[in-house]
Amino acid sequence: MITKKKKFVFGMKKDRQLDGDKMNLDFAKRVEAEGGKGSAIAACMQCGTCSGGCTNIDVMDMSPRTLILMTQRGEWEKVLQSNTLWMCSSCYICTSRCPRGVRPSDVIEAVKAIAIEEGIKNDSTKFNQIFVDLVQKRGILFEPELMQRFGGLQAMIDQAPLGIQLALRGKISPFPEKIKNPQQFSQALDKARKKHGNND
Amino acid sequence: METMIKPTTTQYAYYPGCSLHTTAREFDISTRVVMKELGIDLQELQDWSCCGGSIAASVGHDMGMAMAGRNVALAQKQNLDLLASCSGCYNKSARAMKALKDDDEKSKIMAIMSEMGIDVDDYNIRVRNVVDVLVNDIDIASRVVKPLTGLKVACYYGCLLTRPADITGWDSPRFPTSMDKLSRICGAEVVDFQSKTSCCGGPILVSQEERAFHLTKKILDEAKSLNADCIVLACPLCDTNLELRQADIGKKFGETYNIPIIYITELIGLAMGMKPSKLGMNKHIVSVKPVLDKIK
Repeated sequence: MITKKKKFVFGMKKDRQLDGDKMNLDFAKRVEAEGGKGSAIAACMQCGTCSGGCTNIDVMDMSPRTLILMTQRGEWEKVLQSNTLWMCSSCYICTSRCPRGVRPSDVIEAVKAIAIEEGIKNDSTKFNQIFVDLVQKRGILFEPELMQRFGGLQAMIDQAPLGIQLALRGKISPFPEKIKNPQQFSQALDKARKKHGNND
Repeated sequence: METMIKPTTTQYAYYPGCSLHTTAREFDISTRVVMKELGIDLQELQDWSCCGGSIAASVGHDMGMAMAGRNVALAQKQNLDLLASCSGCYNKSARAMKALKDDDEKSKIMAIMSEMGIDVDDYNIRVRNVVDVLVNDIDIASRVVKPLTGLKVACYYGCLLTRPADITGWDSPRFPTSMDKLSRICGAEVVDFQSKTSCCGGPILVSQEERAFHLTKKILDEAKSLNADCIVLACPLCDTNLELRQADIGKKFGETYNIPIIYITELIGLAMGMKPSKLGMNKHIVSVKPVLDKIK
């Protein structure tokens, strides 16, 4: 029998601690499975070093430290809705500094993939998916196509002055490069993505 | 890090990556000519593909690792150490190499790679970066014929060249000095650049443009306040922000920068007495003339 526990002890809120009741390890396990060896969420002791060094914390709605805590607690709705995922510029400062080997950047990367799988839609998820689609297509990225697919005609117009300067210096080719066997490459990645469930 | 002049190899599988064939042409050209002059033979990695950058693994971890792992496997097939000049390609290749040496990760990545038609099982090659080779393997000092006296440079490392340390491991993730050292050997004066490892926002440049501009502005502002003649770097994505978007950033914030951005290989080439055009320096969007005038 589970007896109802006191919420407060001597005026201190009990769930400030990570007690077993509050934890829903399913989400944490899913993140760890996605992120591979890197994302050692359970090792986090909430020291806040990751947040202290973070490049983009001033525009995040949830600090990297909180994101790890929420992942530990299984508050996956909050985590998936957070803009922290898309403000992270993968600069690895947090990972370089973490004294516990948690690799917050790898955790965020894994949660991004889960968010895309769960159907979260915004500019960043759109960009990430188009980027991968295009690499998958020929094995080598063709940047003008990326701009066009992401931003449409307006983006092409906005970028035209720079595009012309680059073209004059031979830094943009009108023809995309490709690898020898793009079909096989593409099919292999397609299969990997389908298994993952985010091929929309 | 003391100078260790023991070139373990003089032949590499050179992995240029997507940018060096397009927006970073001068990095490609200068890497090839400088390396050749230093007696290093670059064999282009046959049938290389995009490493997936900082994006692919955030759509699917194993897929991203397989994309980057493919190039490592191709270098292994050529039986040559993989040499990347782009910091992103270097970082992702090194990360894939680490994953390929881990049993659990390896089986997942190998499954995707064998669908691609690649079955390499054993990895004994190394993944290296141009800066790493230049600073650790080669005696540049003896090759300097035209010291860049009077040139004030701000060395910008960004993120992926040195972070995280367990993947790169040859220079400090927080206070790297490899490019400072190379610049000094070339005779340039190196300014104390606080922003040297700050992020420019490269991976979020398109999706979160405003934020990326804000981050890049801070780097340009510091270089300007230090009166640096140029920023020296080794990453094409950082260059996209710092050079190609420099005018846009200036316009947005009401500033004028005109700070030349040059690759470390171009700087070394100049000090070795090579002609700027031979190094591809006529391809810059922000004019490098002030730099060339100063070292005449």
